[in-house]
Amino acid sequence: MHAVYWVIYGTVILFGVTVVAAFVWAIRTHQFQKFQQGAVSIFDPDEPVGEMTDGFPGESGPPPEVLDCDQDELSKLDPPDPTVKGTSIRHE
Amino acid sequence: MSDAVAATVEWTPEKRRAYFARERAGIDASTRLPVLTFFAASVFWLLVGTTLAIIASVKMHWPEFLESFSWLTFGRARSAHLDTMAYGWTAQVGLGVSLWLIARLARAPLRWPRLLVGAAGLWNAAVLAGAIGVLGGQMQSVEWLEFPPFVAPLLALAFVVIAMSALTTFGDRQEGHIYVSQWYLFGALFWFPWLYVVANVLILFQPVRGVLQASVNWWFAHNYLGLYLTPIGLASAYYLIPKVIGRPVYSYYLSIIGFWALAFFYNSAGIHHLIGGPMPAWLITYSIVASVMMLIPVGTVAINHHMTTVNHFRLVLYSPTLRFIVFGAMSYTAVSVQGALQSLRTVNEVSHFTHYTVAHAHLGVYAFFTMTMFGSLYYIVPRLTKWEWASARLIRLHFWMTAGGIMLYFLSLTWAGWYQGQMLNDANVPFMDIVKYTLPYLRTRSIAAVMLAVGHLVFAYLFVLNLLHRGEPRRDPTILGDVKEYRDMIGSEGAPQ
Repeated sequence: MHAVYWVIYGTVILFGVTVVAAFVWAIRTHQFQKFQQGAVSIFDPDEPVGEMTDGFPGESGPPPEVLDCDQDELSKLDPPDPTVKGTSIRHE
Repeated sequence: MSDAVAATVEWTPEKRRAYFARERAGIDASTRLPVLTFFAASVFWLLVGTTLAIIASVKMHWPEFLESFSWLTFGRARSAHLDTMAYGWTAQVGLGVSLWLIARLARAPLRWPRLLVGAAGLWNAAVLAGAIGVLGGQMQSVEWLEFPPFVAPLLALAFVVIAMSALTTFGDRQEGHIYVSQWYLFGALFWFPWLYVVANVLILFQPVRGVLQASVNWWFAHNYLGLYLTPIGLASAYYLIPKVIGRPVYSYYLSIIGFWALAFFYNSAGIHHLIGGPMPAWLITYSIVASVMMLIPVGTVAINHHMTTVNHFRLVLYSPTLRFIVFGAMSYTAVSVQGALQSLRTVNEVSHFTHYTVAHAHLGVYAFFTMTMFGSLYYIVPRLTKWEWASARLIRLHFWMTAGGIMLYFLSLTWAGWYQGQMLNDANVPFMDIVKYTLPYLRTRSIAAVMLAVGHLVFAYLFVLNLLHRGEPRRDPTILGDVKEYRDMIGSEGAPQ
């Protein structure tokens, strides 16, 4: 068989298998569960939900009314604290 | 600190904050050398590519411009612009942002930082050799693959080192959940070598025959945008928009659907560039269907980004990162919907072979990707250099020059291209009339290019000042915590128990 076909079919099989493997791995490690917990995984106690982390240099941040939010709603979105056993997705 | 000793520490909320701040600072520090190397090199190539862009643009309406320099003829300058922007600017800034995000999201230090600097050196040597080859007349007549053939193995080797570092860092992760940005990033790191190696083998090293070369060419070129630049841009937006405004994404569920839909549909979309060409009809139709189906992942991203920012839109006034990234995210929706419509035969028969397509390409690579990368750099660089940006006024000037410039560019060429296409389809219109009709719009494009160049120079100036720690020392708003302060607060290393 011509080398070209090896390239085409070889890569299709290699990458197809890899994609399927990644998908199966994701299901087996529960990556598609507890989406809300996943969404807040980028926050931590130092940069929690509700805190802005960027601004123009040398300028004060937005006035409180711009950042205004319902604290009760925000408290429901607290990120899982990886330092408390049982709350990290990895330990489950 | 051993676990036993750490267990004796009383973890107050303040100490807990300090622990995470110190961990984040340590991870950022591990990425400092390689990521800043990629950023510095990419800013250099941004300026080179911009210069070549202005030369090519001016030659479109003033052909005598620099006519005595054979290495700056339109064909060479335009191709050198494309390749220095593709492999010098977009690829490298994307790699820098990707490596930083991968370490952050894994909550693990970046592996092999010095080796990554070597890979960056190899990558830049290859781009330099390629650019000289193109300008010197050794160009390959393949869109997006114009570099001389010897460049491809060098770029591929450098990329393998970078991808291995990213994968190893991912293997060290402390965070169990794979955030949506990580899916996009590993998609990009996985897809690019596949696209690049296969395209080079099938076009330059073991060339397939005839129109098959064209199909491989556009499979690669379109996927470079869709399966390399797009995932990195979206990964950045999915991390930085929620992070800056302090709110999680509106629907995490939709974001995951968006990733897998992109992975499923985008690969087949590129052949729509060959509508009207001597290709099997089923292949073109299949590509059109895939292009239109891209509205699904685009819709999920648009809904998510819009709903995440909708009640906090005024924050763009207060955050440079958010300002650039929201502009980029809105442009992503626009360019994607436009792309889906453009793939329809009835639209394509007008827009094909016109300036309309050029405008569309710049809406994607510049208004979406480049603006998103600018926003990312405004967030990342101060955290690596431990130094705030020197001037809010210059950041705003950068934004308005680039945002205004790309909008002027897009609108002028879109308008010109659409009517150019209609006239080209009318056999009664003399060709020279069409050329004359487009001239004012081509001049407008050159003005837009100068605006973009001013923005780039301002950004490069700010970047150099930041690297050199010039300007007034500030801690806010980037919250540049001092690691020593954290250590004093919580004693020594060790995780809260």
